[in-house]
Amino acid sequence: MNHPGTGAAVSSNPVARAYNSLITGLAVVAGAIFGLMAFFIGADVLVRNTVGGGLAWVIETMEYAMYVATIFAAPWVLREGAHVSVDVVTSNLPEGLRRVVSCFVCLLGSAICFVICYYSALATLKAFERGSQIYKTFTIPEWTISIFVPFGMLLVAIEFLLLFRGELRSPAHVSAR
Amino acid sequence: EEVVLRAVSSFQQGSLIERPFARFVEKVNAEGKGLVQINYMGGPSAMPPFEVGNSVSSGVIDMAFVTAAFYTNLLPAGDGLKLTEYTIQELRKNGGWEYINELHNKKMNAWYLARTGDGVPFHMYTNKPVEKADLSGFTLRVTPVYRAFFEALNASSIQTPPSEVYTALERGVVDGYGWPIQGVLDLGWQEVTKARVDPGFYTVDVNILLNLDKWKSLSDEQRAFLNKMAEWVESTNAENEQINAEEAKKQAASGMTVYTLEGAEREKWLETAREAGWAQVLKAAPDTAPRLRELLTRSK
Amino acid sequence: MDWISALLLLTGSLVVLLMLGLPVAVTFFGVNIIGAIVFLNGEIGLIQMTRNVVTAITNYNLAPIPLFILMGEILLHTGMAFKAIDAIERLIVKVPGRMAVVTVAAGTVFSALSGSSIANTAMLGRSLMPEMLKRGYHPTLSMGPIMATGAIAMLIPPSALAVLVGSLAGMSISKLLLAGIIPALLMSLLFFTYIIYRAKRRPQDAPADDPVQRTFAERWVPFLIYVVPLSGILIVVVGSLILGVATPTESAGLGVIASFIAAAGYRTLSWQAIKTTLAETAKTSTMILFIIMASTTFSQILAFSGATSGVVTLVTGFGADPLMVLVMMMLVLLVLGCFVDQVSMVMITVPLFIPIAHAVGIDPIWLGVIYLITMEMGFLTPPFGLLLFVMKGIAPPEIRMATVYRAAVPFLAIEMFVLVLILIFPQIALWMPSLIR
Ligand code: NA
Ligand code: NA
Repeated sequence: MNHPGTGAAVSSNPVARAYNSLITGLAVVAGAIFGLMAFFIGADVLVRNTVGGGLAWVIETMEYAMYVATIFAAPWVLREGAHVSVDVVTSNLPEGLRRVVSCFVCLLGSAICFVICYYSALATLKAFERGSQIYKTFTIPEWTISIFVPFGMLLVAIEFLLLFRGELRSPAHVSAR
Repeated sequence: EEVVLRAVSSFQQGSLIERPFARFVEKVNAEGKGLVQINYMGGPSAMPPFEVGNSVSSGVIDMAFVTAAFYTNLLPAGDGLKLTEYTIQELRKNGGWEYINELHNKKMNAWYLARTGDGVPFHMYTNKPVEKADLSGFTLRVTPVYRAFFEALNASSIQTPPSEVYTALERGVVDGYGWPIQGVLDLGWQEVTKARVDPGFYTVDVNILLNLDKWKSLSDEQRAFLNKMAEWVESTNAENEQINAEEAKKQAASGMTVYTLEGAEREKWLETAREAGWAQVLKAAPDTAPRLRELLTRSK
Repeated sequence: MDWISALLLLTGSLVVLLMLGLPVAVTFFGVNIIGAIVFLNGEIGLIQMTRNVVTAITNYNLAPIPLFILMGEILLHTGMAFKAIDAIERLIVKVPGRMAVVTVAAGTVFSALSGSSIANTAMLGRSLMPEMLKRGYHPTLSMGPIMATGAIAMLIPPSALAVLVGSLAGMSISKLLLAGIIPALLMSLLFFTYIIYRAKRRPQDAPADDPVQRTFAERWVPFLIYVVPLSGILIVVVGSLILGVATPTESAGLGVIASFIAAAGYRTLSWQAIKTTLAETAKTSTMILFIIMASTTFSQILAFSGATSGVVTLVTGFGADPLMVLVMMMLVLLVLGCFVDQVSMVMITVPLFIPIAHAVGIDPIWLGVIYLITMEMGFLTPPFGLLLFVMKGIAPPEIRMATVYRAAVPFLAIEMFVLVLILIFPQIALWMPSLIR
């Protein structure tokens, strides 16, 4: 079975090209973050056991790094068809019906992600207006943390719409995996 | 008409620290029939502890049982509540409660109904001897409650999640940690802890908050009833002395010893704790910290 | 809303959306929207829910997941894993279903390194499964052992979960960890037995490759070259833990670094290998973490709605026969295992179970071991279980969910058998801890 494609990858439209590099670029950043996590955690252990003291910021940074990397890679993972789904029912449907369900699922997924995007944007806006700070190892404005959810969810929602378009054009399907 | 308040606790149901709230809920529900009832939705499994403050502020829940350290994002000065040198009964007389309540009203849309935890100090727990008020060479597991103090005494700090504390102690990754006098046995940490350091410092604050809009929507009779219940739950703070003694006894029974700092070292220990604590509050809330300190402390 | 309606609404919509084929993570997000509107007070609840999503993922306890995946990917894409497996295979001769046997052996070894069954499964799956499929193993015989060794990871120290259960329930943690060892080894043994039996019975499921007669040197030299040095990675992970240099999470980080160094030592650390390693790590980690992000919040809403405690009180309210009570508790854990992550499961059930256990006189350590095994099984029981989804995510696309289910079932049956044995003969669990009284 082929990976379901969005069809956007081959576009010559400059907006589409810029968008595609954004999705890929975010995924590259995510991969780099996951890779760097190990090295920072290792460096922390090393510093603590040699110089003493350790890098106090490592644990909190790792928490945010994991979060940001997950959000950044999520749209690309959907594009790659690597978000798991249960295909027990859909794989046994007749082809016509299966495509209808698949289109519906793309639209539904998009709607869900838009809703999450909207309300997490509201949460971010509220935190911004209130000037909330997170006081842990660092003092960070809350909105700079929460803004990643609306950003990532918007892109996942768009990816679902692109999947929907691909589904209309060709029989590649989101529920194939 | 009866009002049902939806409540959440930021501490595990059944733990020692949560007990005052469980009793509060029981009493309200027994005596408030037809007037006020509490629907206790649950603890950390129902709402992340650091979101309890936000959820009572926005009105997702009506009532919260939560320590101020969990909602410093909404009320930075809340960090100062642990630094009080007065009981809540005294604070209600000297205007301290009024100011604290005003801060909660303005900054987080909440009513400061009651405070539990009075008389419960924090302690340092250690696997290495502590003979003076200097922690050079110690690696300690901290939360923001202890960080400023321990670092002021030259300790290095690690902020591990609670689930890693046991292994970190067992393997010697950390030499100790800060925790209230109550609750170490709830977590099973006595198995990997050799000693407690006396004296304790600061005061645990776990507060009962109400959403401000909800509070305003209540009738005079309902508010009077809740105030009466608040007064009752605050009166049970007096039992803490005995609970502390029992906990200390249980710690000793499980093999933990005590390092006691005396004289000048003791003074330095307490002084450093206080000053580091207030310096942190002043930094986070420069506009309100001075007034708060005036109201909460004896030594000016 | 009463708890039964709440339960039906939340789990019902979950089942429907999942069956439509909506990605698992997005399904949980969708149900969270419904749950937030109904139980968290409408729009303010929706805002709160998105905040909870952030807290769910900014959690250091999850850090070993990407780290152990990364470790597996390095071993995989630099070719070190193939060479090591090949070398081990040269040693294990004339055993039917050798690769599956190797999987269980490797799984048991990694159990001593990792406290996370998800990370364990992801790592074994990424490094061993493609090789087994390539050699013509039946997909169920390659996936089954990989998922099954997750239970062993929970029982053999280090086990983050055992510590969590033990501390919340007020059990002796060292005794609980000791109690898990015999059941874990018993499981390994039964897994071996099943694999060998099945490979004999259905040789087509486990092709007996490599009829080549090898000399002593041909068998042992690759082992010395490709396996013995790799044990350095394990020594770094275990050693850093035992010496008190690192916490469990940190030891995972050190393991990754050691793997990179090993790859550099074998001169297999090409730019291309690094790129593929990071891409695959990002893919698998994100798939898992995205689900955890949404499902953690789901289990909070489930608890908030009263559905969770409703189920637990109902099921644990049956009589006072200890065995009956235990069976009921196991049922609750199996049901919760469909929807809820392990940490939440512990948080939800411990406060309700422990008083009951005390009341009817159940040995806490006995309960603790049963707890751990049952929770792990809940992750594997079809149709929903986090480990099943993880397995599906790392398997090649042509493998259907139904195949994953079929792979899990025989191993689940073995775990169930061990569980029943422990229920009937508590000494299997309690003998080891009784030695340190
Ligand atoms: Na383990
Ligand atoms: Na399940």
